[in-house]
Amino acid sequence: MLEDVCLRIAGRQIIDRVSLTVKQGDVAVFLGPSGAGKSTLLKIVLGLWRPTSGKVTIDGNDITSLDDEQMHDVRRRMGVVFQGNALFDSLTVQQNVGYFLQRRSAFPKEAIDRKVEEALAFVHLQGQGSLYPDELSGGMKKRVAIARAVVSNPDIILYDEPTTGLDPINARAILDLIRKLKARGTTSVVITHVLKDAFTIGDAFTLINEGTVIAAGSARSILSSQHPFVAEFMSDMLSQPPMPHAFALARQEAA
Amino acid sequence: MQNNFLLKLCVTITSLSMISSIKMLLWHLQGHTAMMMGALRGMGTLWRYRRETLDEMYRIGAQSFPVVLLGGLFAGIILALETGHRFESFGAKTLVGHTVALGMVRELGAVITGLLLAARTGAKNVSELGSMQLSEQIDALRANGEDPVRSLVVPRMNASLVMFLPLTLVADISGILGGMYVASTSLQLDPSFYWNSAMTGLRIKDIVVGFSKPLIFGFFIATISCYFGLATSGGNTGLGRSTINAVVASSIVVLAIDFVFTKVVWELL
Repeated sequence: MLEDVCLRIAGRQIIDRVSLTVKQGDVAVFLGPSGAGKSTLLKIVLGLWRPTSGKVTIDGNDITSLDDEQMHDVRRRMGVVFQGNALFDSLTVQQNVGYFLQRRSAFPKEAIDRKVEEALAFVHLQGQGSLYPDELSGGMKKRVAIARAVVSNPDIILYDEPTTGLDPINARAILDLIRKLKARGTTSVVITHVLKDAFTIGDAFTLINEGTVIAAGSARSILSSQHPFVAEFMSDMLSQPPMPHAFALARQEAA
Repeated sequence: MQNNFLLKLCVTITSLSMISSIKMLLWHLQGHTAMMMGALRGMGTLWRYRRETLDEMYRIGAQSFPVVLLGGLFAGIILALETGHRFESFGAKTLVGHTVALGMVRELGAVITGLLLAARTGAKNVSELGSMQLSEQIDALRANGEDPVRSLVVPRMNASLVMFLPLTLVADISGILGGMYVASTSLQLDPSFYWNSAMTGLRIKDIVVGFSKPLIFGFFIATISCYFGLATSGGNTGLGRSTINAVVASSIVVLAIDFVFTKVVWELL
């Protein structure tokens, strides 16, 4: 949960009084144009950036006042899929996926190998463990990044633009994986500007522009918003059939 | 009247630019000091990151060997050529060995190794960490509970601390041998005379001074380059800027520390 979160860097207001709540087990989508502050919010949730004011709480615990050492424990409950995947170039797929498990030294090597295999099977990359990131396609890299995020069974997974730059088939595969994780009970926070993908997987939506929340709630409440930016941002979506089922349904209800 | 105005404008612009440079310098000093303290606190993680440290030792040590060997060799050759002909003119060419050995062991071996490694290792560190920073790999480490200073900076710093010493020894020996080659071929000085003069001219103090510097150089080159790498922003242009800043700052620090060290040692010992 974010409460009145503000972030100011070098005199510029990047995030301005953002408040929102993500329910456990939901797929929460942060929507907005490029440069709106979506990725910044994700980094605030991860504790990579400290807000200038406001509070971030996870399961009722305020994480804004935690130091780096305490924050490490909170971060271990989260998985992250970065926009550029952030795979380590010098490591193989298998080493990338198992890297943080190995670092935490909580498991023997055999258990780590088994977990890595399971994670790779989950993203349909069995037998690809020996490849290096350079040898993978964009979609495969994204799936490796998801495997790395899910390998430690986190409670929350944060996705930064998971389908941007992918072809429709790979994008659909990534959305399917997010849905599969939701079925397991994992809470997901997805940052995207691709409306079709957002309404395909999302349960709750937050529309952000210039660091402030423009509209928040279900698909229905977003669509019924009278804010001119909502109409402008959604205009492409509204004029381009076919629409995803959830979107069509919500639009019908809103009307 | 107009000239006066232009002069005032120039002074204002120069002052503003200097203030901005000083602010930037203080900003970097603060960042570097904070990272350096973090790295020193994390030195206890040597065993945990032993594989990374060994990898870095190979890259800094074994892969820099030819560069340092050649750098030392040419420094010794030039030193012998420059001093040899002067000494020859007043019949003291046997002092060439003494001069080359003293120059290499006390000053040139360490400084040349420092400058070469500031360029080679410094550029390597800053480009590796800078590209990791730009591709969010550093964020990925932090997001997964890994401290990038401990996992990336400390292994590089420890590897530099260990490897700069033997590399300086390589530069010293190759420089003395290069001088011996010049002395025997160009000055027709018997190698045994040269060698005898070189070895008798060196005192324990010279060796202690010469081999203390690489430790300090290694520490600063590693931390400065890693700092600039982790502070990289602004895409490929920013990475280029960071690399230049790191190499320039490391080289100047090497020369400045050499000056301070030499002055302090002369006054104290």
